[in-house]
Amino acid sequence: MNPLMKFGVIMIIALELTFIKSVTINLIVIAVSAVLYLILHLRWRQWLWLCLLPVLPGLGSWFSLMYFGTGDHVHMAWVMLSRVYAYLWLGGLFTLKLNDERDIFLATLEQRAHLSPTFVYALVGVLNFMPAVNQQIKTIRVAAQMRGMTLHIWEPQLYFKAILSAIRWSQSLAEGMVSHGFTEGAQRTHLEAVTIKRLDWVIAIIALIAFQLLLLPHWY
Amino acid sequence: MQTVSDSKRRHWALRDVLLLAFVAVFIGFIFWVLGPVYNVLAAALTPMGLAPFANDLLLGGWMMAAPLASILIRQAGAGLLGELFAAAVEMLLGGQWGVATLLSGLVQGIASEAGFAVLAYKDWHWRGIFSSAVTGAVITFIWSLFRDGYASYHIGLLVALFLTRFVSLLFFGGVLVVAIQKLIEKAGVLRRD
Amino acid sequence: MTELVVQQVNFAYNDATVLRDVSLTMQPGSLNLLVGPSGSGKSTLLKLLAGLYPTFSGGKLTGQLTLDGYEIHDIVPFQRVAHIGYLFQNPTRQFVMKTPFEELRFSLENLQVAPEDMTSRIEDALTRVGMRDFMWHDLMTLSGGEKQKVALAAVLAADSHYLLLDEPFANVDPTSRLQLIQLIKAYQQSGKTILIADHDWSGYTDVIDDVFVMADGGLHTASTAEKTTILSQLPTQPAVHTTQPDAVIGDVVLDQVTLTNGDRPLLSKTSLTIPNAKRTLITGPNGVGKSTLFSALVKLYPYGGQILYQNQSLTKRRIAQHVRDVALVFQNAEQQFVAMTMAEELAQAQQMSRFPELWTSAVLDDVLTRLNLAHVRDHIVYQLSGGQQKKLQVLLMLMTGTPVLLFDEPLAGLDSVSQAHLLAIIAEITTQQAQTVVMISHQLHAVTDWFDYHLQFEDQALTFRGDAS
Repeated sequence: MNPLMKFGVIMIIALELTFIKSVTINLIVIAVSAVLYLILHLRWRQWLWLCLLPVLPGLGSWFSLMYFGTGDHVHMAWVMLSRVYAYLWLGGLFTLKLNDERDIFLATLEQRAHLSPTFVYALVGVLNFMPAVNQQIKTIRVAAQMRGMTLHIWEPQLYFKAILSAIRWSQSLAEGMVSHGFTEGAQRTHLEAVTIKRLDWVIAIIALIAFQLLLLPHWY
Repeated sequence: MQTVSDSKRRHWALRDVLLLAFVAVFIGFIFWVLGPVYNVLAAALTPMGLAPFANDLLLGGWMMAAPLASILIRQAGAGLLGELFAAAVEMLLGGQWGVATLLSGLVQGIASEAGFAVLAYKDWHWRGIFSSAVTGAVITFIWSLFRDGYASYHIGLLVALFLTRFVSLLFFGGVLVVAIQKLIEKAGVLRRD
Repeated sequence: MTELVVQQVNFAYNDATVLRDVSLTMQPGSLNLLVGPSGSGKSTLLKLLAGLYPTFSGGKLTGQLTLDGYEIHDIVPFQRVAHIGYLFQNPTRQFVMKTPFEELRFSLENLQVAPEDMTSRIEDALTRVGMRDFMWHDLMTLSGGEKQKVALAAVLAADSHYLLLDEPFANVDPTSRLQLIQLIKAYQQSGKTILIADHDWSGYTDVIDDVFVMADGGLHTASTAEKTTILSQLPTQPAVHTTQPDAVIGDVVLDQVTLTNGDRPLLSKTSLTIPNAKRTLITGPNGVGKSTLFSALVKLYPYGGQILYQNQSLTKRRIAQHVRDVALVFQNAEQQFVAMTMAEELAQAQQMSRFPELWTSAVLDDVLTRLNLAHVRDHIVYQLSGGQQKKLQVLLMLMTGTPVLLFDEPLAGLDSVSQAHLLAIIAEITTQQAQTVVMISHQLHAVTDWFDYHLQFEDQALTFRGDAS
């Protein structure tokens, strides 16, 4: 399935989950995701990641609601715990595959969703620069430590230095892109034209309709 | 040959969009580094049922990309975009909330942006910044009533959580952003034509 | 053939004149050299010719700077780069895509090349620069030389009439440099016009048509006699006089240390001790891993084996504590400032110094005068010139007074007078504070007799060079 379509479906369902107070629905979302993961053949580390990551925020909400909730708070505690899992397992369908599907996702954004190439390639650029940004933040802190100053998270100087790097880097990347012919607002050709299969639309619509039907009877 | 002046002046210049994206990524990473601190804090508070305080205490930090993007680019929509970029980074780094991070990013972006919007996008200094901190706290809190199940809390806890979030936004999204802006302007490192 | 006209160009930025009355005529199909001291305006001129300035710099441009009658910076980039190609001094932060193939695809898509022609053009260009096998490698892990070849391939793929190169070999190892020169020569022979700004023209002296000399923002074409003189002055590397260390005592010890960049080995198992309270020079080809070694020494880069400070493994030392003992003067000066004005920076450094009694106001005034910085004491550090920033950064790090101080190219971009003053001050102060100095430098003519020891970094090994002591 085209990753942008998949992303759209996932986002719509995730948005609905925010307003649905149902443990059952959350569990169904988790179960369906689990089945899809079985088909996708995840590595055991990815399974571990899916299982452990939501523990903290899930339990955090659960305990708070148990202790300090009002009304139907016990139910809500379970809703929140299952919801955190549902968000991550649902989202994982997109994010865990993103390494393989990144290029086609971005190409779809540009060619089919007609997002301005300026935004698409800004996104491409910063994605590729993420490891460098991580290193740069370490360097900023160490450079200051050499001067005997520790830049804490609440100090404006830390952010000022980070923004200074952002200013310099965005300038040189902009120059680099333009020197490779990038022209704002101009036509571009595409080596690979992205098409969205009719089947993708059918699957997306079926998935969304099925989810709505699930909500209809209020049987939870 | 075709010239640039023939075409209309672009609203979102390449350099601005790149700056906004880089600022978001840098801020995203700074707070990603803080992730373990949040986890420890949240874990310590969990058995007492006070974990949401960890979230509300740091929310202002996670939302900093929005007001910073606004004051740097000075354009309607910059805050929203900045926060979306930051949320995308957090999601890709493997944030605990998965895709819900992007939804929250959208809400947080709108929440912060609203503060500049109510001043008709005319004030990019402390008035605009504090206004965005206030709208940021109020609007995201309404969102939390739904997403985080806050609606089911005792009113006492709700008030305490809101105050925590408000203080966090006033500090990170207000005081700190004003201080950062002062440094940037004093250093004269940002060219604005 | 398109016509590039540069007539009476003036350019000012922040009220400072960078170029004055510059006119330039290049013969079609020629290879030309642009020379001049750093800061004389060479880069600015090239970026103006490439149309990047004033769009990306601001500033005021007057005079005629046109391509076929159109203002260069006003031509849409996708048409401009089909005529004028440009190679940056440092290609690292100029690539937007992840791999060479994708970067060239990005470029050709911008130029609106038909999809069916694209793959062959990309593969052809990458083959010509010998990077075909690296087509799908991560650009971030390529060496400086390889990145520059990819950047050149982008120009070849666009088939630009003019090629502008701004010190293209600054981050390139000697072998890659010769390969790149061959490629550039071949490009010229296919009828293209080329302009290179460079300090070192060894390897292509024979094919240079005209030499343009830039000084203080003015430009003139060298006369035949002048050209001969300039081209005969190849920057020879002078011999550095050092001795072999014997029975080294030192706090910084490398024990079977290895360094890699991605899959590329930089340093194979090396054990050595850095001599205490001495000055050690590290030289080696560009891209060999000198800066990476420094990063490892301050815990900013992963390494194999063990690095010890005072018999304690770096892995056991907290970074904040470690860099108060072993500090690095980064190549990028801006990175190391923590305040706003020079006076504030100095006050901070005075307060943090390990030797506060040494840094009295009188001493500071004297040093500032010698570094020619006294008159800018109240200036904002981010608005100082590159040279002033570098001198200030070195001074601040000296004041901090860490037992070990690493310098990464502290002399680059300074004129020879500033270099001499700075070296004298480093020598005086580090002797007083009994500091261990390790320096990476290419400016060997400035330091022939300054160092005690000399480490050569080559073929993945670090070896002490010099006469027997």
